[in-house]
Amino acid sequence: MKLLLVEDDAQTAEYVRRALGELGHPCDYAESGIDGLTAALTGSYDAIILDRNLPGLDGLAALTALRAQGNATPVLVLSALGQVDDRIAGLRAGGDDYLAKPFSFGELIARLEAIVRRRGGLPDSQTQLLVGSLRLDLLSRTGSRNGRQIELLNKEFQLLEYLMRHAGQVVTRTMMTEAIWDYSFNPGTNVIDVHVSRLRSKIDALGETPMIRTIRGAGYRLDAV
Amino acid sequence: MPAIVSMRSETGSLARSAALRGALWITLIALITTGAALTLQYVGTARLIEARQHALVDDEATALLGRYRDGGVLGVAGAIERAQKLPRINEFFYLLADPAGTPLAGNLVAWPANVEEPGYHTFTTEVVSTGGQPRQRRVEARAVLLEGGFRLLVGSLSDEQWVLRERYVSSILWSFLATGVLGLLLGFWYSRRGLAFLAAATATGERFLAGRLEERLPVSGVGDEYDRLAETINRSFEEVERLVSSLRAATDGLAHDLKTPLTRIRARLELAQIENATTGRLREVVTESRQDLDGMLRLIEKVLTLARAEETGGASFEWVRLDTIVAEAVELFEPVAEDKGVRLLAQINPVRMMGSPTLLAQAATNLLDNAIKYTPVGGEVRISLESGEEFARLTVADTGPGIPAELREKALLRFARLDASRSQPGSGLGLSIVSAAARVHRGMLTLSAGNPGLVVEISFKSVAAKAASVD
Repeated sequence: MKLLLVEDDAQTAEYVRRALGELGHPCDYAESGIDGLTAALTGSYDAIILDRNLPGLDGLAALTALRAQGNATPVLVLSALGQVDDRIAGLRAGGDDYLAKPFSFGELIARLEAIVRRRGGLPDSQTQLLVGSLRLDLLSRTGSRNGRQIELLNKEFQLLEYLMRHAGQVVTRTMMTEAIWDYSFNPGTNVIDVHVSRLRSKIDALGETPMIRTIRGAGYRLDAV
Repeated sequence: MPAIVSMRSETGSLARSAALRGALWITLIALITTGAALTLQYVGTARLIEARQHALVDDEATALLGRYRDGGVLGVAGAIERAQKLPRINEFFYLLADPAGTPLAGNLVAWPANVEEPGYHTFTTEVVSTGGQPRQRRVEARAVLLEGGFRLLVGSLSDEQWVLRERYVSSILWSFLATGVLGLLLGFWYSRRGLAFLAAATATGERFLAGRLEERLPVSGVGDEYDRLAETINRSFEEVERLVSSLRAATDGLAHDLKTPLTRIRARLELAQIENATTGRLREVVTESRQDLDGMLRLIEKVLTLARAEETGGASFEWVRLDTIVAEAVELFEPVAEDKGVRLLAQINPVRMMGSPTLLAQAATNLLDNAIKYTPVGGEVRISLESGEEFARLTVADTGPGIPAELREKALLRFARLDASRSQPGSGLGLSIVSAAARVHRGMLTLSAGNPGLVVEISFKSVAAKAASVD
């Protein structure tokens, strides 16, 4: 991914760029809203990481301006303000996702990959999802693996659908909480882990290769095996 | 010395006080009413008496003038002589005088100096009573001009009018005095409750401002407007006290909970420096410190959540299905309970209410998280949402160790962990967030014993009433 980071704190920017570079994602950097807007309009990026509180042109104003120019580059809004209202404001201004500071690099990368993929992603009109030997019927809300039927409860179905739509990508616990339970808060220790481990036991029959892998310090990834 | 300050302001403001103004107005109104009533009565009576007297005098004068027509001046003089000798109920005064003013007949010694024009006049004359005592009497008389410059005066005693006037003046003075004194007294008596209340409120407010947050206004128990105001002010004071003391406790708790991991991180780093730690050891140091930092960040997040929860206002509320929120939370925690070997039983009835969905979901998840956390293997957590005409009640009961009655209040405070060493996991904010959520939704949060375990109940009032006011 070719990324643009708009962040006024030089040290944070430096760390983020180095971490993204380590992971193989070159990252341009702008220090102010104006510079960021200029760079976003002239360069070609897979995604933009945009801080909300910027000197001069504020992050959300820059984002609104960018969208007004017809630029549809995926934008991840970064902010110290992480409450529901701020989140809604960020998304309303045209952001694709919202991440509150402080964040982990794992979370940042996972979310960037998700919004980049979503742009070129699968159409919503599909009636079934296929990942390797795993099949999910969106109409009958049932799954199957290697021809074996998998009975799924409501939330298990949603969780699996989410993982399958993001197959091959890391999804974090926060992303799952937000997407499936619509909670903007952490509902408690290990709650998501319990749900994932349940889902695992349903989709992996004895002798089958586990499809959902735990990515340490980040979250989970569903792979076609 | 707030007491002295308040005393001074109390007396200093007396002249400007609303109570005095009120008393004065009441008095003034009473005075005007009394004065008007007395004056009307006086004027009416005086007119009546005057008319009666004029009628008598006119009758007498007409009779004498009849004599004048028949017998001239001499006829009049004769009639006067005769009339004077007759015993009469009404005593009349007569005087017939020639053009020079010399009396020709009558019982007056001289023509009164102030009577020059024809018509009614009032003057004073000396009358000798039957006992021989001379007395000054008021006389009202009608002067008539006869032909040739002769003048006739017919009058009668008008003491009645004078007595009436004197009575009027004295009664108006007395009643003014009485009304004034009574009005002022009643006014003060009437407003004394207000004055006392204001003085008490001012003094209490000043002591409160000076830092004595436990100060409250006296409530008389009469249940009048003053009591209602006192209760409102007291509730505000209580809220301020609660906020201040919970803030104080929170600051202490937060400082403690942040300092502990910071101390650990610092010690770990220093030790690594002193020991010239190997790369492998340094990696451990980094991992451990990161875990500590993550814990601190989670804590700060929760503190901010709580702060947000406490300042959530009704303005941001929307219509929510509490049953859906609770059901989702149950669905979320079902596998957690099952994994732990705890039965989770839910009984949920539909409830619609105005509220913050996030805050209500936080309350529900926190309650379930806590209940499952503290319930031993084989135990049970029951969650129920009941609804009635005027209420909705969310109850979470577990079969854990429960909370002793004397610690239940403390359990709701921020950062309160019931073990003094604070070594148990958890931020101690879970129940505080539940408590804040209950409060901003006007719900009552109660903790009670479950025999065994803890029962947490939030009852929301008039949910149905609110539901009825939709559209």
